[in-house]
Amino acid sequence: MLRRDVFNLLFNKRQPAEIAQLPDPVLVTPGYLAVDQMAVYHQEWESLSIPSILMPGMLTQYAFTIIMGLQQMTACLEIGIKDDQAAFKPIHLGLDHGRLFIGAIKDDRVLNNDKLEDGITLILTVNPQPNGGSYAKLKALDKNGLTLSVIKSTTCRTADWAGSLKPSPNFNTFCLHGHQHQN
Amino acid sequence: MNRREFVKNSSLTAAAITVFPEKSIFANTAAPKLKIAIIGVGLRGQNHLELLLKRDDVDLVAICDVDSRMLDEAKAYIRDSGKPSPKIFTGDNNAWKKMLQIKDLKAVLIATPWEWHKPMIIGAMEAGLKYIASEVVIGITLEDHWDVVRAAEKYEAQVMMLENVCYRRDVMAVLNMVRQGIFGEILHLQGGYQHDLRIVKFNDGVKPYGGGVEFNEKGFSEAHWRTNHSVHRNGDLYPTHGIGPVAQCVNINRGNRFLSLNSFSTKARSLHKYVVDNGGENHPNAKVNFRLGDIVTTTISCANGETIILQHDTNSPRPYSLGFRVQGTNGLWMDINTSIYIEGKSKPHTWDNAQAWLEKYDHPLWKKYGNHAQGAGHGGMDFFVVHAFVEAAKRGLPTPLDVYDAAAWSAITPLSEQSIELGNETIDFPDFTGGKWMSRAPVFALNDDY
Repeated sequence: MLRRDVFNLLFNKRQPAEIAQLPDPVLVTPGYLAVDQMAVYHQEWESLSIPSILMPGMLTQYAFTIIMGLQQMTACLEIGIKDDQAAFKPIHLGLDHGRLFIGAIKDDRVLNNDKLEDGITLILTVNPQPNGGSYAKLKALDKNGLTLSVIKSTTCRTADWAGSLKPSPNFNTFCLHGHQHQN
Repeated sequence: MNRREFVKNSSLTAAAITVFPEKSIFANTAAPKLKIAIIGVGLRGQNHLELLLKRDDVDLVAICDVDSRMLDEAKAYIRDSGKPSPKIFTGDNNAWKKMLQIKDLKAVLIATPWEWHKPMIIGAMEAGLKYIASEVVIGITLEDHWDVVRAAEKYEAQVMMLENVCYRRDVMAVLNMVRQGIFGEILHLQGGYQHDLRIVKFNDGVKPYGGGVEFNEKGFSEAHWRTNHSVHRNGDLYPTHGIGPVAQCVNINRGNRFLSLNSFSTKARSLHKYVVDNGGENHPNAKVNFRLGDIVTTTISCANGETIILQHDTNSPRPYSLGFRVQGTNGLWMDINTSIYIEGKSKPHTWDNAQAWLEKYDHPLWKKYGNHAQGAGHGGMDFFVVHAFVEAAKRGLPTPLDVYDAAAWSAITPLSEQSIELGNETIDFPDFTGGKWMSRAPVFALNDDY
């Protein structure tokens, strides 16, 4: 009998309180990290072969990466386009006059124009988080692979990324890398 | 104090009892003597000069330096060696270009201030040389490193960064142990450059070490050029002594590569304090704003899942340490406590003194050349790194440390600066091999040759 219960019985004339039994804690790997049984999804496009609308087989409920090449200061990727556009707004991200942006989050830094001549690479990585959230990081690299700027966002939910993609014609390379179901 | 004494007082050494090397180890060579020149015969260049003069398989055809005092010291070494006098190039900052036009010159060794390494390396390749040795580092910006790599690929030249710590005796013994699986699968490594260089960064303008708080135009030797980097830059400015050895343990550029990096730096206090303590608050250099954080810590991730931590500290009062740690699934080595632990061999939860392990796994190179390396700088390491370059050049073979190693190790500096600039962001590490890292095989110190 607990010390508290003894005290209550002796001095407060109360019965020991019922202690609610909590279930034993069980450790499980969150679903969004369980990619062991998944196949790798990888697809690349160059220049004019980039479709205006993409319906990828990539599963956005798992971590994925999108790599975009460009030589412009403005280029936008719409991602998460769904049939019911009234209910679900796609996410807009990319470069706006030299500033990285993901939705309403905009970088303080402005990339130099002189980086454009040799091209810039944008890399988006999205990692699902507990409770349906997601952690998105968008970075810009120059032709030497030097990271020029990085922004991060946790405002989008994992479900927001699902759907088709509309890359800007300003991208000259486009690559999706993630997971898909095993065939 | 001269440079040799400064290094000896500061460094860990793995000295054995010395018998001065017999020159005959170099006598039986397949190729004619290697015609080599040196750009930069300052204090470090003079170490290399001494080593080359001791060899019978090289022809030192020329030396170049803009500092007349350093040239006079170099000439004295040459005179004392009894070797023929090389041509002397001096006068201005372009004298080295004229030197590179020497007919039949096959190799060049560069030991100049850091900012000159890239133009001289590329200049040597453009002049037709196929073997270029450069002191650490090989560039300042990331673009510099790509320029050197692209030039080496274009001209099909060998660029070897003289990262001597790869040849340190205990480091090579540990590499031997790694390759024999004693530590199991490698998980994590540490290294760095923690060397109190305050008396190097500041001097009286006459002696190379200490005696004042002058630098830049009024400083002598390294204080003339190196301290400026601490004024204007904040990052791991000297990563290669720490990263080179650990990179060999995990086959970077040969089945593995660096993936990403981030750096943190502390506040900058110690250099200003040194100036005030030694030169007074009213000394002009007390107004200098040193950007370099006293301690810079960098973490690197590798493609095969290893992590590496590097620490850089050239500003704080402290004994010398490169802070090595090599840790795997079976055990680890730490050089700071000269200890090793191997599961199943060591008493549980108890360190072994590393000495017995290091002697048992002494690398074949040291077993063969250990006595010959005595008298060479840095506990003998310098012998091995120069020997490797000369032997590769004589044989027309790839150098055991190549341009991709040089670029990957040296590029940590501009990348760490960028990470700090971006608020300690984790940033991507470029692949200088262009994908070749996946299929290249390890070549470093596989036997007792070089």
